[in-house]
Amino acid sequence: MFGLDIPLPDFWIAYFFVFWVLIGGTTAPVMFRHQGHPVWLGVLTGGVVGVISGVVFMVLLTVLKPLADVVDDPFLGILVSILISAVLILIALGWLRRFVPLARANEVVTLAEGGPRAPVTYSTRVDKVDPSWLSVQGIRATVVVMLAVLSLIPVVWMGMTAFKSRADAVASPPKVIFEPTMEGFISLLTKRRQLTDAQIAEYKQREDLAWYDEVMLKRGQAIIGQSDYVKRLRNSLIIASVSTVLSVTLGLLSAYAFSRFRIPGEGDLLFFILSTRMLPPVVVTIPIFLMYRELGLYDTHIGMILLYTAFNLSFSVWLLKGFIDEIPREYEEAALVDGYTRMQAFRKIVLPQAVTGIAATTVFSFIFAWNEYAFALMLTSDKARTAPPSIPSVLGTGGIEWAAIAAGSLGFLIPVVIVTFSLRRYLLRGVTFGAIRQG
Amino acid sequence: MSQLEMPAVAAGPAYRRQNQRRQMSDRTITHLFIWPTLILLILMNIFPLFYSLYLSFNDYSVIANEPPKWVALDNYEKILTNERSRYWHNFTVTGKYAVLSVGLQIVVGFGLAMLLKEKFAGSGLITTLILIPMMLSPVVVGLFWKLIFDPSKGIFNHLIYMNATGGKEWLSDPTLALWAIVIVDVWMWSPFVVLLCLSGLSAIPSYLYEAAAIDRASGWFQFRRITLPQVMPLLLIAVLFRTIEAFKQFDLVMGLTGGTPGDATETVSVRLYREAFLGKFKTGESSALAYIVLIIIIAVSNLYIRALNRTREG
Repeated sequence: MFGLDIPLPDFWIAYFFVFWVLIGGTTAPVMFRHQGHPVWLGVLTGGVVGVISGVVFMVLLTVLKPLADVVDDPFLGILVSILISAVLILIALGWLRRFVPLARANEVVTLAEGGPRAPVTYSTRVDKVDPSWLSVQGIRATVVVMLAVLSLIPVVWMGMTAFKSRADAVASPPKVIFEPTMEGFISLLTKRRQLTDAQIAEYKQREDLAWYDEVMLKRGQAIIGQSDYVKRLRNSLIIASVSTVLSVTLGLLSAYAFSRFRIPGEGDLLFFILSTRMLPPVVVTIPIFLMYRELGLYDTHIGMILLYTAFNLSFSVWLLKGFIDEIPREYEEAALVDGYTRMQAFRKIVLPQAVTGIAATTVFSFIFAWNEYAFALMLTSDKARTAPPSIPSVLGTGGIEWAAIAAGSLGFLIPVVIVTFSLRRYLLRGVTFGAIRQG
Repeated sequence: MSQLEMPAVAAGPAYRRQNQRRQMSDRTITHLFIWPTLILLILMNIFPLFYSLYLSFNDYSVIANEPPKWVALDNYEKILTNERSRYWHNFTVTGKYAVLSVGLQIVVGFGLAMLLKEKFAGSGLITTLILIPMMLSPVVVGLFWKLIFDPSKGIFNHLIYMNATGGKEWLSDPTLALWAIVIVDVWMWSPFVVLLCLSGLSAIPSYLYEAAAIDRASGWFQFRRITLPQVMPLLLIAVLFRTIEAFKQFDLVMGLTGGTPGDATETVSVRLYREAFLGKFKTGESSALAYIVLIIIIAVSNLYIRALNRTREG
């Protein structure tokens, strides 16, 4: 571009341009507003300044290119030159901001001397409405947004690959623009047979083809049944949901007992319960494998359910104990005084109050059982095998079916993403065994 | 309400006896509530642990038809001293991986948390979006990153790396393969550190900063003397938690490299799996290895729980 030899891939050039435009767009309006100009003027100027900064940034990078030879490692060299250029531009922008002219008196809406344009009606620290602080805030937000975009690229890419055709998924260089197809999903869920040309011609004449048959026909394949993956998905669903229900129920009872009654050696018992979750799965599988083989539980649903229940139990006891601890004892005591039995008080007072905790625990337990891989790999072979260990085996015949793998992963991911959004308030508690509350 | 009226209506010995039968004492309830959990845990965790302790002193293979043969400490000796079985290599790999990924996660996570500390429009949404990788299935993540790292078909080389220094064979170069695992792990678990740090940062009382601002303390001073010491306990927890997880690491490595190239990325867990369930099914020897890992993890989790108790009290 512009005959410059920029030492960066196109992706990063676009990325940094967006970055600088956002920086301009978030900081300039603050300055303009402070000087009494309308905001749109600030946004406009910010955009222009951002584009100029982007160009200057690229020029600086090219100028600093010899640095890569000095630092020896090219990757590090580019990183350093990016940092130097960014700091230089930011300093320049900070210096330029004082050239934003003061608006003429008749244009000013309200301008307190040196203060913010609009009156501050909420309680805040004076330095937090200062224009320089506000523009730093803008820069901070921009950096965060750009980093979030970066970290979501793999997830988005997974979503895109799931809708690619087999050829597009493995195209080199990777295709960003492609024709979406459901091929990946269909090949994940079905068994297929390769057809000869004559058969394809014959097959095309048939009237009773569903849309998914037509999709696969383009690949010269006929669907002959469900794939094993459907079975595995069903196993996953059964094992995960039953074990979740069990572990939450048992966990709730113990959590209540630990929270409300004096139990001898309570701390030690709780530590014991927590420690069972710290064990690496691989360590406990050997004896469990032997035990299951003796008891005939190897590769059975019951075996997996028991195992996941035990593994989730420690977690659900700790998490639920945290939630129940927060329910004031006085509620139950009042109920007891009024003639409720302990069980009634538990059912009618504690349960309704602990519903959010129960919901959070349920979902976290479910996610664990849903995502679990090590146990499932080692303790099942076919009948009770869950989905995670079988996604790799979709690799199957005739080269790796990346679209199918992505489809499987995406299908696996969607429930989790929904859960993440609905549970974000409890996320911290969930991942730290309920020990730490989110502020 | 009916509870209140009952004694008035049905007083007398008959009612009392029925009532006693129905109403359990707190002691009974405690037992009833706790024992199912404890029994299940003992059955699924404690019994297997003792069983594998026994097996670790024996020469035994599940696929052989011979009964376990007592060899005392031979298995441990083999693991700790035998050069050719390269167990030390697995521990080194795990250690290297743990230090690199935990270190980077702390830096990235804490940095992001500092950026997210002050709320702005949309910061809640961004925080949630950042957290998505953490909830994914590690094996699926590993598998999919395999495609991303692919030298010719993957986006990692093409979008991010290529024109800069030329593409690299991320997963088939022994040094880079470990870095690839570290990169994926950092991508996946930095959000966890962000979450912990954010909760720590939001718990810092604002009057500390106000006092510092009145005293005209510099931003760096405020960071050194207020922010860092206040977040320290939670950072420590993040380090310990991630270290434990790093020692347990299995899914991600299996999905991404399976221990290849050669055994360059073979962590202890992967080695354990290979010894116990593939090839010769060396049950006795792998039980001994499992116990060594277990001792390390128990030591680390003890630290973790102590730190946890300190933050809960403090």
